[in-house]
Amino acid sequence: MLAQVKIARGRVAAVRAALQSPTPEEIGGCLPLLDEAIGCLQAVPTAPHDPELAGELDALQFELGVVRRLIEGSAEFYRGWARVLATAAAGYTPAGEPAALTAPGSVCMEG
Amino acid sequence: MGSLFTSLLNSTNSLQVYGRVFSVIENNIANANTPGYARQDQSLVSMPFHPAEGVEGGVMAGPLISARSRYLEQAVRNQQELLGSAQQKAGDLSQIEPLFDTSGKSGVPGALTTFFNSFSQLSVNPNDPVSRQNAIDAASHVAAAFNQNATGIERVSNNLDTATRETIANINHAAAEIASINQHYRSNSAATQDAGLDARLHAALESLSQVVDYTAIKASDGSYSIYVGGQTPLVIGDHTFNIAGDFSGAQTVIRDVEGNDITSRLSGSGGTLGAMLEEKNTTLPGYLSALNNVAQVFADKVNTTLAQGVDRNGNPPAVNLFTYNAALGSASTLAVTNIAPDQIAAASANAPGGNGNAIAITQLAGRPSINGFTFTQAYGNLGGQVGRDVLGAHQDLAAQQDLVNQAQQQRAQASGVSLDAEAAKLLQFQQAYQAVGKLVSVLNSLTDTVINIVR
Repeated sequence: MLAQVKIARGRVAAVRAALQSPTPEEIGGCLPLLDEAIGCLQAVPTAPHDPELAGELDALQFELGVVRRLIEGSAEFYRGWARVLATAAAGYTPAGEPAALTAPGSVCMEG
Repeated sequence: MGSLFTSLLNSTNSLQVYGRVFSVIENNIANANTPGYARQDQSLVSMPFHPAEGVEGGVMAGPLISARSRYLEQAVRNQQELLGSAQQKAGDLSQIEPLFDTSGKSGVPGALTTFFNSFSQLSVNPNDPVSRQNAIDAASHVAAAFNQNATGIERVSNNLDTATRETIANINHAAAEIASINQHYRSNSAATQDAGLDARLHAALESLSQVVDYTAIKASDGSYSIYVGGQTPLVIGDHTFNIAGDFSGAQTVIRDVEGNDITSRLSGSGGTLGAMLEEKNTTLPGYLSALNNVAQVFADKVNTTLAQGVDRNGNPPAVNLFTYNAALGSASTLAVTNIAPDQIAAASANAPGGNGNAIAITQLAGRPSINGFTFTQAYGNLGGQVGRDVLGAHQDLAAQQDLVNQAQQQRAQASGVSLDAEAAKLLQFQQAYQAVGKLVSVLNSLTDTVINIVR
């Protein structure tokens, strides 16, 4: 059980490290790691009496708290950055919101 | 020949322009590690090319373009503010935590256990002078333990006053630095192109963000106005409006240059100053109030119980066992009176010479006396609250250190990018939000799993 929790914690720590430099690709890559962490915890009993296991679970909970803050920080940054980019590209609506972007269409003809 | 001369002149101009480009690159490399420095690019402007009219084209140097983005700078400064606050809280609360021993072996819980045990011993030999003296000694230890706890909290509170004074001095110093840079911008419009000055300004802004929550507004002349707590002017142009601390009362008050109280705008708002104000005016008084309550209720219950019995001579007790001054703080002033061993009312009023009242005191140990909790449990709840606050502060600190690093990385990645080119990636960013949404959902599931296991 302890080994499984340690693996789960390792996966969460990897997510934490990846989120230090969160490109959209990195964020997408974090999902499988979290899924693996959930898989590792499936067989762990509730209310463990082993102090080492309980300590490891506390540390895992701590890591999860940090990861949550990093994800929220990343989302907030990209939300604001997208507004900056959208207004740079398409300007503002009369209500002061970034105007909708219209993706330029393209036609490819062969033959 | 004219054409040849023009071509030669163009070539010379081009070389000079590229010389400026290299000089900008050299400057970027030389300042790569300068705090607050942002890369500059030399823009090139093409000249008209009409050979038939003798206009031979070429390039000329355009304006210097800074890679700095105000949004990215603000994102880093926001995280720096929260880091400053988290560092302050983690440091201060770590000083409080050791004061609360919840193991039950020392501190207040240990002293309470010894006190109730001493009355248990007294009930065995209610007229034994040694047992009576032991009970008085144990009561003194309880008082001393409460005193130590309270003075420990007050010491941290006093240290906060000193630290707050230093922080205010640092804020005013940074304000003077920013005002001095603003003066350069106002007196010389070419200063807006000075990368060194720009670096100095942004290093000062970043350093200020660690100590206080503020809003920075850039004017068209390149100067920055700084408003602390969102609306109190600290710097406008080359003028500073120093803030000051008022430590004359129990609560720390921050005043603007006109003497107005701006504490509520700053308390808990971010930066070390926000954290200091929150701790000094809210967190520590909360701990002290809970501690005072435990000390006072304990003393009152013991005194009331003893007052119902009779002393060794069969008389109602002439003096209480405990005394305190609620106005100054029950915990810090809790003391044992000059009660003599014979004056301890160990016997019940209806059975002089017996042990009825000593047993009644012993039974207080297990009786819910404070909001449904025993004295030891109530004290343990306070210790638990402090422990949770310390853990939360350390978690905040760890997360904030990562968040500052994250914001700096994001600034490095996004600085100097072409906004037009990036706008084309908006779809990719939208996909990133969807990924974040999914990530949060999976994270919630994982957190729930862990919480269910720990329960």
